[in-house]
Amino acid sequence: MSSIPAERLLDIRGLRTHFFTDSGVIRAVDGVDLWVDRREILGVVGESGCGKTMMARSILRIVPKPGRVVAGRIELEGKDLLGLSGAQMRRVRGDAISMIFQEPMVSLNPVYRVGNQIEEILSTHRRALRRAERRERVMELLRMVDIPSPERRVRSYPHELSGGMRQRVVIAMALACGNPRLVIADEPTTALDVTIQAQILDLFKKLQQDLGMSVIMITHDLGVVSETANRVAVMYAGSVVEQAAVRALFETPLHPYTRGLLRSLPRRGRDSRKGRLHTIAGTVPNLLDLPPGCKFFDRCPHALADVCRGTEPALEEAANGHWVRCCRVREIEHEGDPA
Amino acid sequence: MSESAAPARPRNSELRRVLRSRLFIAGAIIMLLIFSSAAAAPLLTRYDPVTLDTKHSLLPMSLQHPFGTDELGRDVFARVLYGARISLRVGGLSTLFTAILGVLLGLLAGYYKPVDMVVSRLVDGLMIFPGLILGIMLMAALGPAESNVILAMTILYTPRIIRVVRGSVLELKSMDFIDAARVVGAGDLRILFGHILSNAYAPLIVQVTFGFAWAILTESGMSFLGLGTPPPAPSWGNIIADGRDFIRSAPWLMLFPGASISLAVIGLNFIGDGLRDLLDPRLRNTARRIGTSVG
Repeated sequence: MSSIPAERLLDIRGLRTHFFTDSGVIRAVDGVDLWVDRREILGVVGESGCGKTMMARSILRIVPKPGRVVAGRIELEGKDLLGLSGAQMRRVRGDAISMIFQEPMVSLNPVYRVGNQIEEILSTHRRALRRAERRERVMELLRMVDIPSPERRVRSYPHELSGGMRQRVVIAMALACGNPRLVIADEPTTALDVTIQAQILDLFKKLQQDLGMSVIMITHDLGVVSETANRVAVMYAGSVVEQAAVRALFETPLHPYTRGLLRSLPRRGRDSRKGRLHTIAGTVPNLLDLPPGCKFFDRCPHALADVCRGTEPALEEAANGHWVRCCRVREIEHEGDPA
Repeated sequence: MSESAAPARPRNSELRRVLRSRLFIAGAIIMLLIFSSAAAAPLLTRYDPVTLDTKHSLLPMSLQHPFGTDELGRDVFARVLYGARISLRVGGLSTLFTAILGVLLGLLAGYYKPVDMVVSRLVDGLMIFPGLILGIMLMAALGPAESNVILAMTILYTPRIIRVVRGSVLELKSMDFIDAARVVGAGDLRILFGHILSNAYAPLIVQVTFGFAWAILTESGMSFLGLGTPPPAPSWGNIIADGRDFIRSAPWLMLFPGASISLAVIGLNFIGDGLRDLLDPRLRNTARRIGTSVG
């Protein structure tokens, strides 16, 4: 695919993942455009239920029933993942793309020793390795994720490890094959306490640099994003509303939703004296019954019925590398938000 | 990292854990006794279980005939010993077939919706009959033969194993570690027979052990009714059936095979209960936990 620049790893266009339930079609992911370059950490932020996780699952094609991907392209190194057969997709999972789940408590099989669990991935993807070589590789991985005395831990069951240790094992599993191009981390630190969270994020960044892989870091924590990511995509009601480099996004947010999000953060100084946090008025629209036009319409302080109600705006480049999905972005760019 | 010493030989501590489980050990000793005496029957008695000796019928217990003799002069001790072979063989084989079939169908039914539609309806259909009634129907249709008893028992008990396994699969398949396994490239087969089955072992093995006990009991019941292993083969149920006319005059005819059935059932139930505790890795000895880790 010559249309894709050389450094682009993953390119998602117009992805729609819908859930066909008895009460109607839930448009969980509804038009996601998103891309990840090589050696880049892309933060994906958004509130619960905005489709972050389903977007990630769509990439790996593990959307739970009754959901399925109904439209779009997901290209990894120019190959459309949605067009692969089941067997081809299995070879991609765990090798080129891995995923780390939110809860390390439940993402390890409780009756397998952690060593065997890691070894299993090697026997799936690296058939040529002999048993001793696999064992060796497992120890190497445990050392890589800074697990102390790996020769003992390798025989531990998941319940014998702390949450942070378990998440390290999960990370080791994601890297097991040695050549991961993309790791999708779905709230990897949400279930951990703050000090451990920092350790895991540091480890993550270090591994990302050492191995030269790309990461999609899904989180609702803007702090995590600002610390780790190179670029950020903001999701709202199933689509990406803004995508930009971290600095650009935090300094000059363009979409009214992003602005609202950033204003909702507690800050030292002027805001804290007022004693109240900013909130975005209203609630997320019902995904069963999305309004036509801009999905943020009901909550947007800049909304104009005749402009925003009509067709849904596309994700457009407003500044260099700064993409926004808003009809009025040119007009509101230099406007402050009404209180 | 040196808060607590790691066990030098974890295998030993595993063994110690098993040895500490009194129920399991008691059950294992009982079953070992029954199995070995069944195996060593020709060494333990010089009588043949089916040869008639009408001159010495209905003798009470003595050194010559520890359990007495029956109406036709057959040594009851010999019949109980050889009977153990039949009861264990019928029970064991039907349990084995039950386990294989039940696991296979249960896994598939729990994992694939369309298979479930068919299998679960069949299971429901079989389970509406009380066990013994269905057993009698099957034996009446199949005709008396040991292989038919095994077949009937397998049909009778498989639905229960299917239900246990299917239930476990339904519960397990939505768990995150199954997704996590899929995410690293595991296929359906590996997920089913690796990740799901390994977590369903505990209830399964317990159910299978109880199934063994149930099979011995049911086989005896059907033999007692004349629908089990055909006489003169000395299954425990047959011996009791032979003795029921003499319950007042020669109670040993029913006492000893009856006690054997009880003992086997108790032994297997002990093993089942013991295994239930032993197989749950979350209940493993806390002393084995390697010290709490940082991060």
